[in-house]
Amino acid sequence: MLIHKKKAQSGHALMIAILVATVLFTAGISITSFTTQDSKIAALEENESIARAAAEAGLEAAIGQTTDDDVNIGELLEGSGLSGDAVFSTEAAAQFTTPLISKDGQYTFYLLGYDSDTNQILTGAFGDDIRINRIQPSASDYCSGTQAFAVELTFIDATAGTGSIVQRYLIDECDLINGTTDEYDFADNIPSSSISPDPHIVIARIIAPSNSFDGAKIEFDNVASNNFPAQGRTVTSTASVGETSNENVTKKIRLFQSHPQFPAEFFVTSM
Amino acid sequence: MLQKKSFVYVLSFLILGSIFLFPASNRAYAQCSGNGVCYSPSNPGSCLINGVYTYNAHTCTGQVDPLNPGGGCVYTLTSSTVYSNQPLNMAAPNGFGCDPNVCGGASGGGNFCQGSPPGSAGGTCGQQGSQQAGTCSSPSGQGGTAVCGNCGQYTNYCCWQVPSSCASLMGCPASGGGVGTGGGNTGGTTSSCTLTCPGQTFEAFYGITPTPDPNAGGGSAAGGGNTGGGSASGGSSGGATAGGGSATGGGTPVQYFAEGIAETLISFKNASNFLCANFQDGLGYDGECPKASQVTPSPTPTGPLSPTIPDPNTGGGSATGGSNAAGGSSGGTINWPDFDWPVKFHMLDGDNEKTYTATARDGSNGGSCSCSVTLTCQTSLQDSPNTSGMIQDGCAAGCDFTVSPDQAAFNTAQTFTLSNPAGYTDLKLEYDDGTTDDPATSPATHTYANAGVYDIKLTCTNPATSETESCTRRMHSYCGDPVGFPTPTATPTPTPGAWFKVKDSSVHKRGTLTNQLPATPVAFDSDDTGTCSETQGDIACFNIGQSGVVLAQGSMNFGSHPASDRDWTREDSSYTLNNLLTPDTFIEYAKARKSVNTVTALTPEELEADTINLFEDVYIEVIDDDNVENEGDMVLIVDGDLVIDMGASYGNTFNAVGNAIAIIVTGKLEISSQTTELNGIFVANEVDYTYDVPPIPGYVNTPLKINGNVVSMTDVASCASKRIPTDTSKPSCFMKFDVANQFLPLAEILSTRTYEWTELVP
Repeated sequence: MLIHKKKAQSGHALMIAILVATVLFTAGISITSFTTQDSKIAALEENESIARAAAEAGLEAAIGQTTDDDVNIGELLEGSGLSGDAVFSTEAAAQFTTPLISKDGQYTFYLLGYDSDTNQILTGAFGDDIRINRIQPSASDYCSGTQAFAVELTFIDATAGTGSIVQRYLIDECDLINGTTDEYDFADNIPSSSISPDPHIVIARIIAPSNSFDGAKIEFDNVASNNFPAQGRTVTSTASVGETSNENVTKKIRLFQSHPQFPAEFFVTSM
Repeated sequence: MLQKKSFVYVLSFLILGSIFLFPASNRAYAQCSGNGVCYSPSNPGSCLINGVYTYNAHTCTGQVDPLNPGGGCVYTLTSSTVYSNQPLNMAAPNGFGCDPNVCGGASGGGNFCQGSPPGSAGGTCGQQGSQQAGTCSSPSGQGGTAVCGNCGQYTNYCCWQVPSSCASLMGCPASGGGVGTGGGNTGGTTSSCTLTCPGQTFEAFYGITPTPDPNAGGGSAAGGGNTGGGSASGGSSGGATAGGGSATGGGTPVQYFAEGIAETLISFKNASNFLCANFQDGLGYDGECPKASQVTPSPTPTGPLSPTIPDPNTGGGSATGGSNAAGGSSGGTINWPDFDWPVKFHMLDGDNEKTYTATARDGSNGGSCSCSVTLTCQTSLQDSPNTSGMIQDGCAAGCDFTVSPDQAAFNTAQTFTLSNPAGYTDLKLEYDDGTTDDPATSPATHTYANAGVYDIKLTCTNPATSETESCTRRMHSYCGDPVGFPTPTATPTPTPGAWFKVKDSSVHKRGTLTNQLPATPVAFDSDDTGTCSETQGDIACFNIGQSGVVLAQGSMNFGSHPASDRDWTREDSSYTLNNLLTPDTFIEYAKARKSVNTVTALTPEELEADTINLFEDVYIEVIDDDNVENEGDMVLIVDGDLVIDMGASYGNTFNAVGNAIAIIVTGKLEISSQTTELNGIFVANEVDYTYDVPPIPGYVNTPLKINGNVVSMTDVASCASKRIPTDTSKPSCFMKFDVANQFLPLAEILSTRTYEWTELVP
């Protein structure tokens, strides 16, 4: 009886060994398969990172130039297997929306443009009416809360040697500032005839009492639908990497760099 | 602490000294109210009449004052004298003094008792107080022979006689009457008598009989009574003491003892009369002054003092009443032998009010009376000193003078044109402010340092005959320009101080903006033109020209003028400026985004034009030459403090050539007081527009003009606070915002750029 029992026990052990071996084999196969897929994913992610970094490098190289020459990323990153370029574009339009201007900040808008090569504010005649539109905050009741703000507009004649401030206007729909002289509302026409001599830049300063003010975006709108000049440089950088189509990754980034902005912190007198 | 300790020691000494010096024999009546409430007039209700009566250091006897049927009691001083500003009715029966029949009493001396107060057991001489039975001696130092005798109606008291050589009586005659000698309980008058021996002071009180004894024929003064006239027995003169009440014998004499009530008028030329309102007796009393009737000024004070007018109720004058009243001294009056009147009552302290205090002292008892008057500026125009009405004395004999200008403020030089009679060639001019021209020559000049009223005296002397003539004229020196006196406007326009203005600027004041413009501002210079009122074109605004918003983190005040033509203002103490860019953060930005030239010195060798020059780790740097400005347009960042001190050799001007220069200072920008013009953009964490102003007078007269802009990242004192021009109708400081010549050429380097980044193909 004892012998029979031992035989039965030996059979069980074999079965167990076979099952364990099967499981281990299956697991091994699975692990190998997963590892291969992860490697592919990781490679793609790596390429994405490389492509993004290359595109950013193209932007940096392009913006870093004093001229608006395009940048060849393949040449910039020679030997990396990367391809692409950073290309400047001109985005003149009849409307221009500012970036978000913070509380007490200001934005310098160039009516006739800025020459990045010579670092000169372009001057000349400007005879169009303009409108200032409120983009953000967009709520119609923005005056009732923390998003109330006013805009002080300073029109400047930038003619070398004779330039000066030629006019100031105030947009104060929320009545934050005492006095009503020379005030407009958003979307009002500001006639060119009211600004003389011809202005070349406009500085829009945000006055917002609340510390919770989220910032403002305003739009300069040429009433005559004539295009305003580009307010900065726009560079679109495209970079690709990958030896095969399956591995190829392309990243495309656009950067807008404004023309020089006079900081309000240095512009507003405090004595 | 030491002072406090010393005070305690002194107080203790005085108390112990008083106990030693003033034995228990002093007695006086104090008034009592009602049934048996004994009180001192200066501290009513302080003791009860029943049982043991205590009033401070005094013990009430409970004996009813026969002179005050409604109350009154006797209290005995145990340690000190009684001081009362109420009548001290010293009843003769309980008065002070020994029976002259027992104690004798030599003329001029005093006989005193030692013993328990009346009302207590009499006993044998020596049984009272500290005396031992069978012994009787005078207190130490008072001399005299002590005997046992009667003291008033009390018997067996120790009496002693003080030699007349020790007597010094105030208000008592030197002989006759007086303390002790006046017959003690039978007469005498109220007096304050101080018996002084070398090194010792003994005060005593003497009693009166207020109701005249018809038999005495002469008020209380004569001692009255049946003894034939009080002091007469003691003194050969037999005169009444101190007036002794009214001569008519009528009325109730009001006697003041040691302390009294009086008032006097002291007048000041051109000032209102004032009352002497405070009296201190030097021993703790502080109350009303003696009445005029109680004051006999001696010597006559410098300032006018009302004459003594004897009060008929207080005697005074001659005691013409009773037969015994052979005159008498100025009874009822108090002699004030020591007057301490200010010499001058007629000058202010510059144009500040001044208080004069006059003090009269009674040299005998230490009392004093103080009076004060405060002089302020004249509020009306007075007559010219050149008019006849202002002649105070003389001026009729050709010795005369005129003053020009005749109506002037203090600190104004005035000319005195002198004239003199023929031969009277020696001239002396006294200005009445302590200065004299001697000899004086015509014309003389003088400047009064204080506003006030001056009696100017010219003395003309004939040297041959020594004869003199004189002329005294009164002249007023005013606190301010007398033109326009005497009618001040009902709502006077405040006189503004120094102020500043800006042009073409937006202003954010990090604090209150108090900057009052004068009624009619005068332009700082030819640049100070532009629009304040577009319809009127004047310049009477804080911010002229193309004015922007003026915002103050607090109140703002420009006097009667608007902030600007547009008058865009906001007063908002809760406004918090969102300073994203500071001098410190601009350094970081410039290093990251700009081309920066790091320098270690502000020299032509290191500085570069058209770039950002960064001078790092500066403790304090000084610009006092033209190295920076000659280099050309630039941004100069000083990481530390910076002083700009432009001397005369540079026209007191920084950047006179007018290059576009922005100076960014992470610390403090300090501008010297001699620097009068800055051209550029100046941004600093803190700005001091006159760092080197001397502590006296605390300001300078030099103006400051800034062409460009100035920004202090913290709230600082106004530029005008320490720059005060002689003509305050002009601004002290003028800041002309210059965008064309300062900002625009620096657009590339004194700027930031915004970036918008968009990922088109993610």
